[in-house]
Amino acid sequence: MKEKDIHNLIEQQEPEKKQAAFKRIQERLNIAEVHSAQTAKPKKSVKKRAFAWSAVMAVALCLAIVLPITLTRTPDVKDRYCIAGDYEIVSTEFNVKQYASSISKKILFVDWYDITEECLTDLFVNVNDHDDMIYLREKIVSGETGEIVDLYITDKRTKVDILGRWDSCTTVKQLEDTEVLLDVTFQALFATFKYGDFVYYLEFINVENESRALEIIASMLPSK
Amino acid sequence: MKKFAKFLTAVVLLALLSAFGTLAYASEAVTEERYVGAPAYSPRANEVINFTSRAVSLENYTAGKCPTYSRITGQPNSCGAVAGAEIVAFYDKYFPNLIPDWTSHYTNGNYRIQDRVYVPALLSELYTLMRTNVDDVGVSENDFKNGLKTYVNNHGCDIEYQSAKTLLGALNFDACRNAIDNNKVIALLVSAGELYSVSPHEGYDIITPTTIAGSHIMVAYGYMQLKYYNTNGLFRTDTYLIVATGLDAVTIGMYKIDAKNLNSAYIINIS
Repeated sequence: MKEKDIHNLIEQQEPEKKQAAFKRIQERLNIAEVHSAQTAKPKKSVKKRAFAWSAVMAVALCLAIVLPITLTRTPDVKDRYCIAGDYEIVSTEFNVKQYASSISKKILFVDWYDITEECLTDLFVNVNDHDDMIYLREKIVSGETGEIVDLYITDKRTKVDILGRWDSCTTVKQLEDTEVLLDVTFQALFATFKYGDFVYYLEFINVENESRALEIIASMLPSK
Repeated sequence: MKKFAKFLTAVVLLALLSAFGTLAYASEAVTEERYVGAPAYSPRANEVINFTSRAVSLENYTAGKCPTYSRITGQPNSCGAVAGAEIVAFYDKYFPNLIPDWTSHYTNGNYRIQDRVYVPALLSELYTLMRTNVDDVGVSENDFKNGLKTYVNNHGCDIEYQSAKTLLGALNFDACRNAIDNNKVIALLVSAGELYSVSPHEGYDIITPTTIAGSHIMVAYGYMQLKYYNTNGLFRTDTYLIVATGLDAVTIGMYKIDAKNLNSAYIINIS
């Protein structure tokens, strides 16, 4: 309606003025067309550039996530579940500290070796391959307090039937960066945590309470 | 015709005798339980008991509790030897000749953990005396008892096995309680079943099972009775024997006295 009103207004003008007005309007329309034409192209190219950058970022992000995983993952890393028939016991003369040193691995242990009267360490190995350790067990008693710790150690991909009892450890305690799961029973105290490449399962006997068990676990962790 | 009839009668009689003999042999072979130290695992979900209050109405243990041993390398199906070693080591505190040159307990009365010399030697000797894996896998009840008796006798002591079962075949808890109160341990011979641990919390307990997949021998050295109450009063009573499991892990367990897998229970008297 507004356009019609302006057009009628111009039509009512004298012919010369009318022509001049129409000419001015047309000139303005041409500038607007050029302007819109000029601005349309930059908009299109911005969209293209935005799309390209986001694609590059997406690919880079995927690579940043995937590459470290694939490069650090060792071959044959499927999780495994071992039952009693899969492993057999091999008694050893060394303790966990000595074993860790012999295989150049960072394995935690309860360092009561200087105060214990007895420390018993056994390897539970694959029945078909004695070089394949399923889990390591160390039983150690403190010569000062009489406390007993049964320590079981597996790698992170191995689940063992008898160690499933530790699935009942649901009380969460934090020791700095390490999450410890606990289960306090009438007869013993159970705890499990992960550190480095290994999972640790502990059964505490003659240990007074949860706090004392956490003290013992804290003593296993490297000091910062 | 008469000769044929006689012949036929003889054949039928012979067949009947053979069938009877086979049946008798088969039934005898099936009834002998073999104790193999069955593997244990924990597949079942825990049980949660909610309550307004819970009381430990009974609890006691033998002095110093009990040694907790486990199998050693080269001795499969050795639960008989392990239980026997725990019994010998328990009584070694009172009869030191049972394990010569070694003391099974610390000065505070608590029992030593398994060592690398004396306990393996004890296990090996019992393993042989019990004829483990000779007739079949593991040990029979008789081989377990006879092997332990031979060891004890060889070390200058006597042993008596007093049954701790009722006439109906259930566990005689009163007899077990009396034995433990008088510092005697009990050998439990069980078929597949469960052991438990009980985690006490405010307002609820969590009972965690560990399944023993086959026949096994354990040593009981304590008892505990838990009574649970809600707003209606006492609604549940659980009574357990505390056992040295003899397993590779989870060395102490709780055995329900009303479990249905009990074959035999013997109070051990060594003098």
